[in-house]
Amino acid sequence: MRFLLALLPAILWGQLPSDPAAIAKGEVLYRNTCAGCHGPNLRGGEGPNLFHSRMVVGGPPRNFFSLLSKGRPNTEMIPFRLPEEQLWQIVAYVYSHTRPGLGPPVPGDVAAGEHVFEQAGCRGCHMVSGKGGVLGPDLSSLGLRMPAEKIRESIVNPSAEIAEGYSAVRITLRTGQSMGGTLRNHDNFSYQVLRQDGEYALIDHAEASKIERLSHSLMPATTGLSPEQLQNLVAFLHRQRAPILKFPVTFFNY
Amino acid sequence: MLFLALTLTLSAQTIDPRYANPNDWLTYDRDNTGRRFSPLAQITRANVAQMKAEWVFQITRLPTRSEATPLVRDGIMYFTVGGEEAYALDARTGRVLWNYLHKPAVSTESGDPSQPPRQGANWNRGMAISGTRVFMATSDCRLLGIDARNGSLVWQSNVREGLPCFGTTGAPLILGSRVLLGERGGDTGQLRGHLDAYEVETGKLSWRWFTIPAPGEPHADSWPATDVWKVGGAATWTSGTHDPDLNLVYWPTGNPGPKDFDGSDRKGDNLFSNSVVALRPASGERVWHYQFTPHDVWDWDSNETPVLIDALWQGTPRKLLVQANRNGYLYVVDRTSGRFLRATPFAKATWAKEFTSEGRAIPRATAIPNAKGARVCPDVHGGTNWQPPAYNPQTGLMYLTARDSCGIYFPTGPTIDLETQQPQQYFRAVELATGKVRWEYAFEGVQEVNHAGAMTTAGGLVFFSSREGQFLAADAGTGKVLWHFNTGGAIRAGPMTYSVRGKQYVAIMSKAAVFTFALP
Ligand code: HEC
Ligand code: HEC
Repeated sequence: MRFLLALLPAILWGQLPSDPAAIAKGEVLYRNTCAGCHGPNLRGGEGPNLFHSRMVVGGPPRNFFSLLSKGRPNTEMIPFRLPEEQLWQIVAYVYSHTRPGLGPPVPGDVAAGEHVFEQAGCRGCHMVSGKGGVLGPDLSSLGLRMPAEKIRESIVNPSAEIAEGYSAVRITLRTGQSMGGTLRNHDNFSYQVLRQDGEYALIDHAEASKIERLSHSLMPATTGLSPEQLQNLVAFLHRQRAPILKFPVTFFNY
Repeated sequence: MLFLALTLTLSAQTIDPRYANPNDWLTYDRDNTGRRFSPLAQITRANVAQMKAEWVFQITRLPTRSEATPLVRDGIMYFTVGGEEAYALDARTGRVLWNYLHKPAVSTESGDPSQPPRQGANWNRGMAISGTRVFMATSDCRLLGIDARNGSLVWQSNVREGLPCFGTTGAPLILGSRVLLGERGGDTGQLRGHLDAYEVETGKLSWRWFTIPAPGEPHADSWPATDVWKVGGAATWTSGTHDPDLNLVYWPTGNPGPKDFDGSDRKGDNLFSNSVVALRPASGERVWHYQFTPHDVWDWDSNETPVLIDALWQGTPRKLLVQANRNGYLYVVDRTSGRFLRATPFAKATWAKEFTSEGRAIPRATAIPNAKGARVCPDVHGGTNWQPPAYNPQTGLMYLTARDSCGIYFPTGPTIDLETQQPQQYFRAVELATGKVRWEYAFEGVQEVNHAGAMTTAGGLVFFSSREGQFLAADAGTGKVLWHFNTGGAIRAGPMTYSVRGKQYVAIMSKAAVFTFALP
């Protein structure tokens, strides 16, 4: 029975982050309990950056809750003996930043929005539910990852903010050959570029004569949609809430 | 002379043209033959001593253990971490291209808040690859089709739909437009084993072959007329091999149940437990079977690799299937017909009195578990186990991690017999032509079970590991150790090799990391 009660908020977790009262309480608790280690902006301090925690960004809420109540043995991440309700409020507050999507579903004709998605060629570069191109990010979980206004902006002004791991590069090799794509990973020694054709170019620094990091998105700005079509498209994308199973490659392993 | 004769038959080996590119490693065992023999020969007996670590990839979410063999295609490495995570790396640098974290559908409290909830076994032997897709099995019995370019989930199928799940741990195997996968859980007393084929494109189940016949089906009379066949085990938890010319896929099966060591409620041979079966890839129709341990009461799963070797057999070229079985014998079978040709011990084995000319093992009466305890070799871990062996056509030697150890078997379960013989583990090279151990390397240190596999190359080398994480390279002909590297964690996986832009690499998973090596 206790178990069931404990699970109840987890079942309702979809509503947690949009409950402003719980989030406000959670914010106060976070500031007093967590901010000293994880930073007031959640971006880390003595403790890790919560935006780069796969548990926080993608895992089931119950795992996060259970970490707070049980802690992680032999680390500074001790168990927090707060009432369960307050722990859930902290989860809600953290999620309101790391999973800013959710919120009430955007009004609009979802089926018509899906039609726009196909007609406007979005699927050529984006996967939804396992189908589509690979140049841009998979959008199957977009509704969890992004609030509606940001989805809208990504469509009309793709270069305003570039998705992590998807910045555009143009590389010229010493052989004279040149290629473009998204920079999926890189360090001081090598580049991993996903080319427009879906193949990887795996290049050493020494092989490149010129590396141009482009500030614009490889996604063309979408024009020519009526306000209604755009609204429907956003409504469709906002409902894509598959569990987050993929993370920027910079997460966690480094 | 023998050496030459075997070398001559090298070109005749049936290799699926899919696996013709020498630079790649595309199945758990590299190609369709299960030999774990790579034609790469940049790293040789002469220069392997100079081999250095090239890069290491550390896994943060500690899996129960790493049993996977990475795949490499066109310079990209793919591997699994436990039954829940998939990675693609730049195989020259170890830099991540993508990762995918599976969310088990069934939640059980794991107790460790940093681990996602899961069900079933959380170890995994790796992926299969076809076109723009990779495939992996999961701890919650799903088969996943993942886009090889960006790591997005394309489809998932439930291998145990409506049935209890004990995890799926084998690396799937591609056969044309289908991907084959078995299950695990043969020791639970709740499983009737099966091998499944799914459509590569859609994940739809194409066929399912049950390892235990239902009443009325051929060989159902190898079980009593009770319901025990429904939970008779014979699981399919490793990968098979296939012969494109004969159009047969070979799959090995596990031990019978529901009780592993007490066969009183399952009198009979318990087919097709502890067997290798030859099936038609398109339909799953069974063409032949050979049973290694009829009516097993020692938990000697026969899930070891069915290695396909084309060689001269007593002067005649023959298509062979060779398996180093957990029961301590190396079996040679004609893979066209399933006819038994020979069984010779490669580890200490006392359970069999003799083999009939049809290849039926006759166990000693004293070997059957009883209340006083039957002293039998090998012990329950076997003379070898699922860890993949290797075969090098240039030496005619089969390489395997072997264990000389005996057990005391009670109907309720076994223990290790430390009085008769202290367990001692070896890496052994067995001559195919004679069944004799040509050379061996005795592992010092702990004799906890060594589940590390083997790999051999045209550079005249064989690679293997100690339980404690020493990764070694030896002269494939003589067994002389030429190089070793302490990975610092238990190795429970098989090594592999690949080449990118003219440079040969050797890779192995150890504990929670992937290590790669190359010449400086
Ligand atoms: C005394 C410092 C400290 C405090 C206070 C603290 N943490 Fe932590 N936290 C850590 C450290 C250090 C780790 C990393 C532990 C490890 O090594 O795995 C961690 C880990 C975590 C993780 C897991 C990150 C991951 O994916 O591995 C989460 C989530 C987290 N903390 C959230 C919180 C929240 C929410 C609070 C407030 C209730 C909190 N922490 C309070 C230090 C702290
Ligand atoms: C030529 C390929 C291409 C096409 C066509 C395309 N996109 Fe994109 N899209 C990208 C790339 C590359 C990115 C990542 C860079 C960025 O953030 O702008 C992206 C980013 C996005 C993002 C942000 C995703 C995130 O995780 O941050 C959204 C939302 C999006 N696109 C929606 C669409 C929609 C809707 C369409 C159709 C109207 C579309 N895209 C058409 C390539 C494309």
